[in-house]
Amino acid sequence: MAEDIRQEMVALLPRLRRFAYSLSGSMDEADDLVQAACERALARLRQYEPGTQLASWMFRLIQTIWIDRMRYEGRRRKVSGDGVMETIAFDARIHEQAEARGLLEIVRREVSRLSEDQRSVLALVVVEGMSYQQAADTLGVKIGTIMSRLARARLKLAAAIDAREAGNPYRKETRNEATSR
Amino acid sequence: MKRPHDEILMAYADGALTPEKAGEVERFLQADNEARKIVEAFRRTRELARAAFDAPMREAPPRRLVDTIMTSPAPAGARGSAPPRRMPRWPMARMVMAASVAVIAGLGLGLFLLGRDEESPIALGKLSTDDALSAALTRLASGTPDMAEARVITVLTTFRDAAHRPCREFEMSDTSPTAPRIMAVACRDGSAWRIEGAAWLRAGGANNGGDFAPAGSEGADPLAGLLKRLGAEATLAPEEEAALIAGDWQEKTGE
Repeated sequence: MAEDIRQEMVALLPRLRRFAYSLSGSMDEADDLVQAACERALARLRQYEPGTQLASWMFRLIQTIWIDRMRYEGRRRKVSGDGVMETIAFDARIHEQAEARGLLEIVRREVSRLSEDQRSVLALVVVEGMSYQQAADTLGVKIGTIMSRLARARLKLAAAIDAREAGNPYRKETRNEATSR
Repeated sequence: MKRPHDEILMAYADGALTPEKAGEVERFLQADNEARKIVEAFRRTRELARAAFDAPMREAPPRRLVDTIMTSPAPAGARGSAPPRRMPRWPMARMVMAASVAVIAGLGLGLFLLGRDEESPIALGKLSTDDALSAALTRLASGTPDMAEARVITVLTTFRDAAHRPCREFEMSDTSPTAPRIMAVACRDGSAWRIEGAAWLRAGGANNGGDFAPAGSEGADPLAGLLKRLGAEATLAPEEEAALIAGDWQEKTGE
């Protein structure tokens, strides 16, 4: 059984990394979080109830570890420079336009400015594609709470994007701002 | 009718309403420009936020994570708690590590470089259909790593080449942290997969994981040349890929 779970966990890695990336805003930090969550999950394998969603359990572990770290270190998160570089290389392949690249950077930065509560919901529903109900189950809050947090987060995001686009749509300075937090 | 709450407009944009409720909102939207803008904002934020964090879905996970999962001890008492045995390393791994540049093996040249060595982890040419790699290529959706024997295989994309053959770009690595990572392209050849080319990426490095992408260079993709020669077209949509997987990669031959 343990071996099946290991394999299932490997198969989940891209989704776990994506989730951790959207919480932390940095790929390096995301990989640390995923690593810690996998270690914790394997150490507590007996707490896992077979038949329940491994993904939800892992997401919750990642989120808990992230919140703990934030509290412990008492810091505001920062946008990591190398995380940004890495995704630029990637985005170049998918979204060919430089404009889209700049926009996605803005999105990442605005997501990093949301509250932890809002960001977790956004990560689960929008990035990960969970239903409102699944997100509610994963985070242990009511579906109404999920919906109001998510709506607020997205309207904030939309407003920030609009403001950027109305002002100075596409300039190199976005990079500098990202690294100088 | 009063304008629905933002939460309802969001649920509408997300396709999370019942058909009746969605119909109601739709009728309302026809008359309210402002509400249409809000719905559009919800749609847009979903697309953008998804795209902004999509990078991990398009690359193989760092080996150190796979290694953690495969070797972290489970607590005493859990069944099957012994970490799995590592597979022996490929004899050529050291040699590859010594080379600081990816070896690119494509088409004729590659046959010479790689095809003769039985120990090399990937040989160019047709794969036997009962090969574990062949099975993985046939069955895996892009972006979902899976184990085939002791190797982790992640299909990165599916595309068609100039001859309209379905092809898959994939990454393969042993679970041992020192083994090389291999990126390769396989195309459908009759009822089998044919490895068209492969690049070995330097293993190890202090920072395992995304160590093969030197920042800011166009040549960061070691398979770019091969993809160009194959005449790779745009990545297939997930539905097209799913259809090919479901149909066991059989092409309709009637045209």
